[in-house]
Amino acid sequence: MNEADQRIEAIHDEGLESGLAQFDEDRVKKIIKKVIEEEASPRLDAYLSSCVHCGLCSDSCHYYLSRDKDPAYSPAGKVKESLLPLLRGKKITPETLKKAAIISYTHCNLCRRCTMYCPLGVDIAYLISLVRRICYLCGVVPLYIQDTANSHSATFNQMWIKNDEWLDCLYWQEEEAREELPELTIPIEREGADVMYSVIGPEPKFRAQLIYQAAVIMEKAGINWTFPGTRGWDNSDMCMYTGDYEMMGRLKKAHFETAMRLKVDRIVMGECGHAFRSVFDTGNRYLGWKTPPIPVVHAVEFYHEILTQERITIKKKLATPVTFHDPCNIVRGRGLHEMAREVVGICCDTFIEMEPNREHNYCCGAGGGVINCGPPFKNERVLGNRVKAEQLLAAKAKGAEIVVTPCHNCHGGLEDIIHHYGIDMEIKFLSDIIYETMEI
Amino acid sequence: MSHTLYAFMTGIGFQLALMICFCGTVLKLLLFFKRVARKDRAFLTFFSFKYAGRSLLCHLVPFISRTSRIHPEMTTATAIFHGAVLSLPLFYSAHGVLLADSGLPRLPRFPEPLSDILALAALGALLFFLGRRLFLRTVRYISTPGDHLLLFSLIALFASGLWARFQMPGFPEATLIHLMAGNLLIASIPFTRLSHIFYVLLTRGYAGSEFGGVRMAKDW
Ligand code: SF4
Ligand code: SF4
Repeated sequence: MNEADQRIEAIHDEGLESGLAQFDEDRVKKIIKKVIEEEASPRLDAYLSSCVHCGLCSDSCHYYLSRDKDPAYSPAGKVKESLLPLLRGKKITPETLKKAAIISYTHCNLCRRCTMYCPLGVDIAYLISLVRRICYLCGVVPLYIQDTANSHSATFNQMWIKNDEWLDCLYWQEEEAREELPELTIPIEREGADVMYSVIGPEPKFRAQLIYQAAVIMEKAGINWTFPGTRGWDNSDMCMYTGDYEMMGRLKKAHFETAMRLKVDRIVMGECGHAFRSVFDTGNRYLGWKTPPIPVVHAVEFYHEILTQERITIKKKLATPVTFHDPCNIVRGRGLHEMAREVVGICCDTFIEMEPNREHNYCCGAGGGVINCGPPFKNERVLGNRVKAEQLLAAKAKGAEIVVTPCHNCHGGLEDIIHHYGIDMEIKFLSDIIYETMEI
Repeated sequence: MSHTLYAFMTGIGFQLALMICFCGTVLKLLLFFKRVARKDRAFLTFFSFKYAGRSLLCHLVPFISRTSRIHPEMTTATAIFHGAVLSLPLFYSAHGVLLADSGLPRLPRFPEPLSDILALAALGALLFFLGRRLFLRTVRYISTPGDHLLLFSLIALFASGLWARFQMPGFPEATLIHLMAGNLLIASIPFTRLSHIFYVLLTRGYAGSEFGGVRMAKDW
């Protein structure tokens, strides 16, 4: 048994185990048949028939590079070990399904870097998502991410936040901010506002200061904006990553419908990558929209707009040298890398590039729902991204002390990497540095 | 016997191989688009000739994409092999004679030394691919018996072709092997990994369309 298999076998996760306890081979085969025949794009067949097994995608994957080029972590190797046994294996055992689930949920961030490195354009992230979809329908999903998806189903937010708690958090942040700006309000349910600002569940739960900062930035920029006071305020989406596409559709519908009910011109989303992927790229398609039914703007675009239009002014640039981590979902997912660099350039004196960067940047290792799979998989996630630590260390050696990244998942992933590899760097959001440097 | 076989391979056998290749390809593409219409309308909605073309170009022309730059040996071998395998069937002089005999218009013909060098270089590239499959841990891990068979058939095709060309001892048999391998490979295009010849337009093309048209990012 190779090392990767040993690691997989050693994993104990309650969610996977309880799903596997119900294992019924006939049912699993029926599910696979249904997914392949009724749901899967014919691209699946095109990818599997034309992949020439050249291995050129391997060097794109941070797991493969970080695990000393262990082929079990190469993109094509992961497809071989997870999807193919489900599609082509005569017999499917609980072990087959467990392995497919662990590989698909925790050995791939769906970061799409490998698609850029496969000359044939095989979309490995799509293939891995299909495995997740099958595992989800079989009820074999890691406990922590399924709990998050359950929260989405019950509350329409990621963190089991009740609506009064959401409102309470907004009032609390308004009060705090008024000590600095006595006129400031955090508008809730303001019909006809220009902007509906939406955030992910963890903001009110753990990072309420981001709501405060956003309010200050909005106030100073003179934006006519609002938060929704009802469900639909949370733009995040772990259902997209568990494979629960039905729920993904309901979440996005709630989000769009809230914006329409409030009659806003556009949605501005906070600094999160996966939420943007869901709203801008995946969820809207599930609902049948080619593009979102209402313009959706990521925080990077929004900050770029208000800074370049000089709606806010920077008082004094940050003197500490910074580097920038490109979040996959807004860089490979939206091409916002240059705008982000311009925002950093407006707010900071010294900018140091990480290599490789922009579309070629390595994922933080947390994306694709991997961090949400929780503690049983943390070790794999951190050890599977040694290359990110090396990137950070190289930037640090050039003088960078802060790594800026406009994505919540990236913050989580980078924090774990910085901690594990003992890298003395601080992580900040764009709004952190804007708030710190702007004229208030 | 060998004469009859030769006549078959250059006549009906060859035409049959072309027919199978053509009909198989058309069938595969029809099925693809039928399923696309039923299950993946996004493919049609997002496919963009502009971005598909851009992506294909950046991945087909050697040393533009980052992946081709970080693997220079593989890029060189791939470019040589594909250049040879796509041009020699049409422009090598002896092929030209056979094609003209089957009623096709006369095509330009490569000078003999150019064909020889191309064929030899392609054989070298194939041996390089074989070396990767056998000795590179990652490539070995994902290789299947089908991949080895395909590679073996291509090596047989080029080696027998060169053997026949230089009329080395036993060349009539080598000619037959060459014809047989050629016909089998042509016929197998739609049903094996060789289908990447036409699928690449859709797979790389779609990746390019999504990256360029939806995600505003480069994909090379
Ligand atoms: S983690 Fe990214 S590069 Fe690695 S296989 Fe998944 S999508 Fe590809
Ligand atoms: S996915 Fe692409 S790069 Fe990877 S082995 Fe297959 S053809 Fe080669």
